[in-house]
Amino acid sequence: MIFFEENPSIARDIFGKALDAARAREAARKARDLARRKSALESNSLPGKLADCVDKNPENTELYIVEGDSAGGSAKEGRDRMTQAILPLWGKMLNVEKARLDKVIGNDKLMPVVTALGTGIDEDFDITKLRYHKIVIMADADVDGAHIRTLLLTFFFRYMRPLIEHGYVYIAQPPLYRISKGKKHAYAYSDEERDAIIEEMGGNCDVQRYKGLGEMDPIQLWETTMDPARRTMLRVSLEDASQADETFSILMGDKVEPRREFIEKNAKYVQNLDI
Amino acid sequence: MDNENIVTTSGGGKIIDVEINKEMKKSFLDYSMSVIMSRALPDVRDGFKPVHRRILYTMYENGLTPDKPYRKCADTVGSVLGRYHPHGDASVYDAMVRLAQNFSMRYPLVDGHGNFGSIDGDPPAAYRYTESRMSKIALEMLTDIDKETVEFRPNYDDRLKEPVVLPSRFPNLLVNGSMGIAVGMATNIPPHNLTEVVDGMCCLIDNPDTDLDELMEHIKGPDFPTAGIIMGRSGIRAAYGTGKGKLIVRARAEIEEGKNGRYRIVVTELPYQVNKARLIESIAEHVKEKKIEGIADINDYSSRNGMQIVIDLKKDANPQVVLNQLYTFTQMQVTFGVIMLALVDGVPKILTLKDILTQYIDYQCDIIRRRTEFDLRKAKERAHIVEALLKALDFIDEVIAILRASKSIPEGKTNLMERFGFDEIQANHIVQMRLGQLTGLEREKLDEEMATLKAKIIEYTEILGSHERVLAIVKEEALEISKKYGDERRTEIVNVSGEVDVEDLIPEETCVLTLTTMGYIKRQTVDTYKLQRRGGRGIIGLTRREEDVAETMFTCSTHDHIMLFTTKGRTYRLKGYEIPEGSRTSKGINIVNLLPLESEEKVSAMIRVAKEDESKYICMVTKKGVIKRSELEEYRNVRRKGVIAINLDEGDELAYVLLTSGEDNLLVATRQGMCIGFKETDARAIGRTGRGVKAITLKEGDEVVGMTLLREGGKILTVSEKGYGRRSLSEDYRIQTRGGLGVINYKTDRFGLVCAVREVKDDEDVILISAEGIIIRIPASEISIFSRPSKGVRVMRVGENDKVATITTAEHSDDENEVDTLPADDGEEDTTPEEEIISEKTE
Repeated sequence: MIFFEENPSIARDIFGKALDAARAREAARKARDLARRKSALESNSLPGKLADCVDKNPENTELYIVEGDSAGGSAKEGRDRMTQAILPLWGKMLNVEKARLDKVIGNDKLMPVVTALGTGIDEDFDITKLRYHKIVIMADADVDGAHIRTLLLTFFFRYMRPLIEHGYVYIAQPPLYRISKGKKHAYAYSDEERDAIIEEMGGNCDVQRYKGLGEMDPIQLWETTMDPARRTMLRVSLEDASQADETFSILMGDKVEPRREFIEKNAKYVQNLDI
Repeated sequence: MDNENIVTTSGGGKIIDVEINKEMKKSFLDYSMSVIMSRALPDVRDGFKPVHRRILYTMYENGLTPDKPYRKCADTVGSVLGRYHPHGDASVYDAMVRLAQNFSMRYPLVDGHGNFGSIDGDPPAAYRYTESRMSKIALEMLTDIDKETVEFRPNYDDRLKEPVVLPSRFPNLLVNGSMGIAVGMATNIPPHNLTEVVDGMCCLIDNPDTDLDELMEHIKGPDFPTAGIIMGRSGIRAAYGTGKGKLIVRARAEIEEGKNGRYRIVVTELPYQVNKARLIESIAEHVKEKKIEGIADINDYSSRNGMQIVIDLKKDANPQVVLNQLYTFTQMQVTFGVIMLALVDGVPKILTLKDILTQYIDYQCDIIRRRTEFDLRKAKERAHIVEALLKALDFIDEVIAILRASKSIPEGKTNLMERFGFDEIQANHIVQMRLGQLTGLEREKLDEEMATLKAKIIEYTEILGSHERVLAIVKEEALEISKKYGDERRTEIVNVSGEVDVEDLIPEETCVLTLTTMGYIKRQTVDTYKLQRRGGRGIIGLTRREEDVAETMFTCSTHDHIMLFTTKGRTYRLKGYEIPEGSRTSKGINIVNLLPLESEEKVSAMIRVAKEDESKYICMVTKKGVIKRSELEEYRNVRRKGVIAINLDEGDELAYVLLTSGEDNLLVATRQGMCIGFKETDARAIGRTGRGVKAITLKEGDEVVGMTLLREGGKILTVSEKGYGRRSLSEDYRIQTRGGLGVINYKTDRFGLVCAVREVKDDEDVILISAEGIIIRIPASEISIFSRPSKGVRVMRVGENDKVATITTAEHSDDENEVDTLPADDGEEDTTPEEEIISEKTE
């Protein structure tokens, strides 16, 4: 006691930590109970926004988590409905790194994802119940898309880590440009590719820069991003969990200082800047 | 991604493995850097975020100048989105609305027509209803943009060009302020008065070495569109000097007495960004919860003629107290946290006031230079043409004849070039002229134009060759704008001494403060203390670790300042009431809970600075014998976070602190038995962070163990580690010159090193504490008076391995039981100290 009295900052840290942990445990317990009860009552109710696929064999199926309602529509039209399910998400979701489990469970943006996947989260996570073996994050190719990607990956990493460990999480790669000349057209996924295509076509082409998925016709979205025969996807893998853990706390955590340091140190590596 | 693992799936598509760590970092960087560099933070040059720049530039392109009719906001928003800003319409309209709000912008840049929202937080009408155009001053943001003064870059679809920055012919960043939250950083720059900022800018142009004080003579502080009152200047100074600071901003409220004798508080101005409707709700809430008492009714009588919130008070309410409560509990007083963060060459930087002004002046010089280069080029081009015209005029008939004879325009051009030596540009200009224009040329006019052009060319060339000329133009043009748009300051800045605000809520009463040797501090009301004394238990009224006793104890007012000095030479100031009140038996709170002390840092002195205190000086002495005297005034502005009290040499510690009148004599004594008395004036008063001068020359290994005042009739107690002690008359210590070796105070070789030297009064008790925690209390009068350097009497018996560690004094108490309980192992003590003394005396 005397030690605490004379070292208030250490005391504060210890008690704060203990209190937080206790609060979180309590909240989590309550929340889990709630979630369990809920799933018992309405076990098969999938989120209303989900456009599910026909095939029910998870090994064959894919879930596209699509940013924005405007893109959700074209994804639904453009998909292969046998194997591809679409779940549109609107707006920016909760940063789970800064929130406790009870907040996560009550979140109306994240819960549809959880119910669509069927696995439950955190301690209740059960990979055998996974309804799709490819979970594809499809966000705009702009910086807000990048942000949504980080938010979703944080959620998967913190609450559904086996998904990443099994290599079930993918990132769709929509094209950045559509280059057309006369009746010919091609898509470019980077600035270099765009320049190469323009050269190939002999210059003087129309170049459309995609700022959002919603700009594409359903057929274009299918051709460029969703068709398993033509698309390029990134598969998220986990090599070093402790390193990833640190990255998530720095980038998404509640301490500002380390984040600023990271930004300052890495500013020169930035690849895409929004205008 | 080249070195990533690429898998081609059976379907024909490609799957590239990407490590989550890398993907997170990349995506996060893309997002955060974009938000920082092109969304949330203003550019130091024009004070705009991209969205504002795009709105104004679009309005400019659309010709929505103040002399034209208003146009629907929908049109402008649509144009901004379509041309330059590929984001949401709401973000554009919100930004535009803010530019029009006279309660958000100190100098609105958009002139709005219709409902643009209110200070009550009412939303603006939808953009299909509202209309707008640029305000007059907004034009100054764009003046000279057509003269190649700023860079342009392609818009998002490579179709158009947009300005990277606006010419900003007035310092918009400071004048209108900026607020934004990026990732990992945020900015909050308050608005300022145009006249003041331009004056400050001119001052800096005239003298680039201008310091903050001089700048603040011109730029007195933020000037909010909503007026209000800024309490105190220290926050402003901090913000200007470091880029970060906290300002206290208050509503303007008057107390009025009604006819029925009841008071009412009338609020006419609010702090910046406070929502009036929500404020009134929150006042009502506090009244309901009884946090604020004495309010009978609140009415908002605001109209187009101004704001008026009337708070009627109950009959028996003290209006000043109610007002103070309103300031404390509601947004009638807010803290404005200034963070002057802006993009400099695309990199976010925290900037001081001077940084911002310097950046802006440099930028304006750049604008003037580029504008002059443009004008020079145009003048030269025109001169080139006029030259040809003059020549053509000399041979006007021939020129016409040649043109007539030519079969085509190109042929005519060639012929002209051959005959008169014109170049392509000149010839082109002439063939393009109509016959009427050619024959109508007047020599006089052309000569005149030529002369003007030549004069201009000379002037422009001179300007470009002289930085002084450029600066002079920047200054002149800024002053012009300031004259045209400048206005009176709205926000009042008032001086405050200390944290008066809280104080008015706390009754002033006398209390007793105690600080123990272990660093525990406690406040007790004087009544409890006396009452308890009569009860006769526990002399110091503190329960604590056995060996801990009160080192310093004094009475003071709860509104007095208490200054605490640490071994590391820092000083902190607390108000009496800030020290937690403790019951008689509580041990108090450890000082580390009140002050941000470092781990090795201890409080070495605590003094009381009463409001009406006559002491004028503060004297500090360090272990290594350095004395520093400063005017108390220098320490008036010590904040809670503390400041440097004395600049210590490596390894030295601040040991003792005294308040002096300016005419006192001081005694500094050392462990090895030396001491020196000198006039305090011998140590010249110096500034707060100074180092001080030598008080005494110390022998190897010696250190200062006490400093006290030498007062007429005063008695100085010296106690040795072996437990001997004596009192000496202060006259016994002669006044010498500071800095010498001094005189011998005590024979340390025989009776032990000196452990303490201090002044004691006859009616005080002396408490001695040994290193092993044994405590003895005896009346000071029982320690005999001897002249120095005699050993004196045995005051305390100390064991072989023990020694007297510290002494302190307390008011005399007759009750023997009041001596603090001694440690249990102390039972074998056979003689009382009193007996010891007697035996010593009879020796």
